[in-house]
Amino acid sequence: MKLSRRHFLAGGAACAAIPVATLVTAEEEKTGKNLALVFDQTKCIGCEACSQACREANNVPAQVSRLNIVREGPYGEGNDKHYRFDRQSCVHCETAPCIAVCPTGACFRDEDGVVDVTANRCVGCQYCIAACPYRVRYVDPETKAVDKCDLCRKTRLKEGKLPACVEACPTQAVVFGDLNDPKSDVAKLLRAKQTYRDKVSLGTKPKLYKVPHGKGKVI
Amino acid sequence: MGAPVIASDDSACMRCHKRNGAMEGIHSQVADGLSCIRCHGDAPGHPRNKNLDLMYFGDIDRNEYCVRCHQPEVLSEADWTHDVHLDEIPCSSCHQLHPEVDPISGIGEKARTALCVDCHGNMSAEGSK
Repeated sequence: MKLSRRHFLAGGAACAAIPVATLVTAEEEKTGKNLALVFDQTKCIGCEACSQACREANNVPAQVSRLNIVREGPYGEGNDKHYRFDRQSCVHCETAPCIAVCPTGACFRDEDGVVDVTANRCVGCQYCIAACPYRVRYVDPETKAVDKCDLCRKTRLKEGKLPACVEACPTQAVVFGDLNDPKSDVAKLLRAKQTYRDKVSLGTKPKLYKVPHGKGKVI
Repeated sequence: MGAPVIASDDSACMRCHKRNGAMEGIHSQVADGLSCIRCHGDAPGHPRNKNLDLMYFGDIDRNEYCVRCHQPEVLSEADWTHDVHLDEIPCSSCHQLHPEVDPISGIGEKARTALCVDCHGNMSAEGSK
């Protein structure tokens, strides 16, 4: 049988199309979660139970941290004296600059929308640290790989538990859940309360929502 | 209220109030030492009169006696949490003056957070912040 150039190309295209089609269906079968956090500044009391729990749950070395509570203040006088607390941790961008710049594919997003780092793929070039607009990545002094908040996916999520910070908070100022599930705690909270996200203008689509403090601030 | 000046002999107080403990903390070294009545007040008729309001530091309105010496600005510098608790809870919720060392001093980060969590956890369970 004579194989013409036209037949050869058509056959090749058909072969190539099969794995692509399988990939697409595999993608659809995944859980389709999009995990996110809401931090309620009106509830946070600045006790730092979250950052301590995070350190313990994920064995974060003392020199670095995945989660910081930043205190500002005092504002107001007398009885009205108050502080503002903000959460500084990975915001798990939907279009993450760290993933875009990583030359080895160590930075990735898992099927539940959690941005994470594969430590043994990281070569320590620190491009991601430079690229991250939220300044939440660090070099682990022990593994020498870059690390950051993974929403406890490697430690607690797989055991069916909530992230350590969420469980430790005495005032329920941190809420965790799936943005794609309209019945999840985060989805309900986002419908009920006004929230904002940091640096949305950069197009990073961050998934750390914040309920603003509510008390005025003189800039 | 001016500072009470009549210092009674503390040993007279200690005859009955032994379980309250003597003043062994840093306040025993203020000036020439603070007598019991300097802080707890004195009342004629004590101890025969049982209905006296001798100063007990478990109430929030007693804080004003502490801030006579401990200026809120200085407290704020020592620890920011003073700012938000001074009008809310008695100083004695965290501080004890009778023991040689105030148990709150140098308790460490985790024990300190545990104190926050203890109170605020109960409060949010009850529905207030």
